[in-house]
Amino acid sequence: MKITTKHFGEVEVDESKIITFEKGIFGFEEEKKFVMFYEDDNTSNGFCWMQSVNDGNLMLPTIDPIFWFPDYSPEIDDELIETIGELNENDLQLFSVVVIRERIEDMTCNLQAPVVVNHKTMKGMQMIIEGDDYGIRHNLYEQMQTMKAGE
Amino acid sequence: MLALSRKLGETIVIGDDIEITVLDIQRDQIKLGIKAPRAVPIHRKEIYLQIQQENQEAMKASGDAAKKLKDFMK
Repeated sequence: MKITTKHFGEVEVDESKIITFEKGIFGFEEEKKFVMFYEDDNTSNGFCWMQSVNDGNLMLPTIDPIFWFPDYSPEIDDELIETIGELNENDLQLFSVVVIRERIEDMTCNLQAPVVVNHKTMKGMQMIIEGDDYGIRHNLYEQMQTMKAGE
Repeated sequence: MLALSRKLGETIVIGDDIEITVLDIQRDQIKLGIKAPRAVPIHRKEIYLQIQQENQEAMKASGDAAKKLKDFMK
């Protein structure tokens, strides 16, 4: 099917790639269907766009938090995660929503509310991690600098 | 909004499987105990609102801004 995207115009998408978010995501509770767009084949840094199928304007940049924050291990409630399918680590992928601000140094990612996708069921949800371990506005620039320096 | 008065230790029941109990009262702060199925997410509203706002902020990202981010990641 064809969907309208914010940054790439109209794009043909295989329906098997559409992820269902039964409760939408925070702030966009009515949007139930999303597609993850990688811009190129280099997916290792995990930058991808989360595009709503019905609202072309709703496109959120995300990164792979595990790649950029190797210590990231949010405590996820298994009963909650099972609402999108059987818990099997190999089927699950985490995405962290990025806010790109005017100064790139100020960009942040939301580690407290990761988007979780179960690739087996093609269902997803955005969940809130309890506690103070992870912030809603974690500075991503500094972390990327650190990670790049360590390479 | 429904308003109910409860005393320390008293509970209200919502539906079949959610209970909220007043555990402690200290001046302007009360401690609530919530019993609910684990599949029901329970959050402090201010956190919930912040996350909604953060997603809305993320949506404003322009193609140019994203390009800056991608260049930086290389």
